[in-house]
Amino acid sequence: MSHREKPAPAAVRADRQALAPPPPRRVPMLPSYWVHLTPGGSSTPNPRQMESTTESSCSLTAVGGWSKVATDRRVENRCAARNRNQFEGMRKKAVVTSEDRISELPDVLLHHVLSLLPVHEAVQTSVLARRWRYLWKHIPVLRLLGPNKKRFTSAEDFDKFVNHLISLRGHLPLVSCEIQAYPTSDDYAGEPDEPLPNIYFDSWIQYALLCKVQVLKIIGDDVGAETELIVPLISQHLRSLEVHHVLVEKDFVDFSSCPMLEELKMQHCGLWVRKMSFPSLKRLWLTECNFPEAYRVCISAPSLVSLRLHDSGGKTPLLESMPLLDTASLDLSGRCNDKCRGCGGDPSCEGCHGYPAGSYHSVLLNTLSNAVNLELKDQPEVYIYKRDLECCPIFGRLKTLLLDMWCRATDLHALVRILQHTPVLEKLTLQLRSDWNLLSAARGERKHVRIEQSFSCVHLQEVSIECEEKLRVKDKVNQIVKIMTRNGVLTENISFKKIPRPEVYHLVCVSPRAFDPYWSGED
Amino acid sequence: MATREAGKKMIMLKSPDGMEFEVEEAVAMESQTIRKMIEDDCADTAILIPNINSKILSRVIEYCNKHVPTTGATGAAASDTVAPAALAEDLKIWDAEFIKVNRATRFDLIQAASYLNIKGLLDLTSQTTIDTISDNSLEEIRSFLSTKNDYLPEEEQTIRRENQWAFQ
Repeated sequence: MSHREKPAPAAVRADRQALAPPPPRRVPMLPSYWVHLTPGGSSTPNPRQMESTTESSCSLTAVGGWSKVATDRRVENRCAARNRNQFEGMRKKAVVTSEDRISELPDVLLHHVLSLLPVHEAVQTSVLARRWRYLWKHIPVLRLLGPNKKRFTSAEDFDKFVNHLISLRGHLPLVSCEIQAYPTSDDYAGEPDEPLPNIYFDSWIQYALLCKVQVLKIIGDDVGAETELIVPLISQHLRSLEVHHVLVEKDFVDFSSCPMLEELKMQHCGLWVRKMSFPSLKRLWLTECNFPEAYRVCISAPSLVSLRLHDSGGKTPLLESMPLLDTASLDLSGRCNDKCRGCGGDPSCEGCHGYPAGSYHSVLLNTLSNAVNLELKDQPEVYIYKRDLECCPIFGRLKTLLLDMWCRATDLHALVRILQHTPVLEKLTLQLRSDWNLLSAARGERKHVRIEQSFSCVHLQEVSIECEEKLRVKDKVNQIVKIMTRNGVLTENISFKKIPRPEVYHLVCVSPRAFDPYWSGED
Repeated sequence: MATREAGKKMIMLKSPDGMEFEVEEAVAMESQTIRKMIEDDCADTAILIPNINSKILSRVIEYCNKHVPTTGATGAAASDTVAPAALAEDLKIWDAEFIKVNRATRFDLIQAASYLNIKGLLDLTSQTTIDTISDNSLEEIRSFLSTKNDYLPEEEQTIRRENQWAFQ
């Protein structure tokens, strides 16, 4: 940024302004209150100075009166307040010269500021001054996150407060709302049962929907009983929904009753469903959600642009066609159920025998074939990517790809296989990882694996190899570099980086038997 | 439109008191209002920012300069490396230092952030205001906000009675 005083004399300036085309479309873009504040338009000098000189004297005296607090002034003040109400539109200007700078802010901004206060404190601002009396009712944000210990003696106390607030607030529109299902009794002493869930949870969600809420966050109870989502979510206004610690037990979850819903985030949710359908959804985040172990949940989101599926438990869901998908990040580690550690000839094992004939060719990758940016991570035993690659489509738009590789020979084969299907790839990031049981398993492997196949990525300009600290995989790195250069990637386009070792590796201690059932106890 | 080295587009922002600020387009576009103007091709010449004096405008530009994404967003969902977290921590410290201004300047910044539609700055300024009043008595809040009580004493009593449920 460079910043300088305008050098041009007034005449030149006028000249330049005459030459410059008038900005006709600029004015309508200003928020209405701003237009009030700028009577002079574009050539106003300092608006504050201007207003203080042109303001009606009536309002000015009214404001001047505020500076002294004296009882005999009160009556005058009252008149002034009445005057101020008569000059609705001028009110903001009227207080400019006073010390009361915050009241100078337009209502919209005060609502925003107030929305950051805890709800019980926001209501209390009604006694600050007249201007503030009903401001709290119009705050477009409501956060019902359970009783604040300092203010409420019990959960029932908070319930009563919220219900009172709701009844006074009426159906004034809400933009955003957070509702948490806190346990009703927070005292476990002498109670063998789990605390009861908040009985108003569902009705508050319904209230928010009635107020045309656009951004809704629902947090289930993660201490007591599991919170089930029973309220049907029907809204013409809901744009964004975030759900935590909630259980959904329906056959079919259908969001066609929320035609505006574009964004859905679910975290720590149990999704015991058969099919989920999100016709209007553009962004979907599923983090640490649990899916059934017996079958794959089918997810239909035909308008999806961005997808994130991380650390889900149970069987990986089956994605239906997403032609508009642009960015996807998938992490199939953790509690993913699609693992094969040597099944001992189980004919239904998809890892060993492929997907059941006639059901699906691919769980994830086919659907992701339109993506421009892709992140794929998994654990060594997870077979989804490997099986999906068998009928791998061409990733015709893919420009950036991040792969999380485990240091094994099969990973190198898979890498080459993917690169054969990414003709326009520009940037490739490889993260090399390992853990204890894997290192011991890789020990038996030959150091150099012969990779015959080649690939052609003529646009590939940037290869970044990121290695976990303290990981001794020089051989593997050398081999990756060799594969790259042999296939036309210039050495100067390959860069190296160390990444920190996730702490979880140090904590997880799995016996080698977990990886290799035929392990005999010798290294 | 002025173009400077490395093909970076420059935008001229003018404050009503006659100062001009030349900023990178990317920095100016931190403001959604200006972004809209640029996207609608309303910004061929310098953009006049009505009602924001040069002192405040320069502060706003300082904020945008700091918060403009450094690398071109690659699009892929942020990978879990340390760098962004450290960067965010850095920004937080910077923000805390940035907002150490007097009350009047802060209210000016709130208005500017709202008009220019810079969400980060609006949140920062609003949150700072809230931090000063949360957990305080009403009298303290009044003095922090310099809000004068224009209720008659009996009126205030009535309102307190009406809102008994909210006080306790």
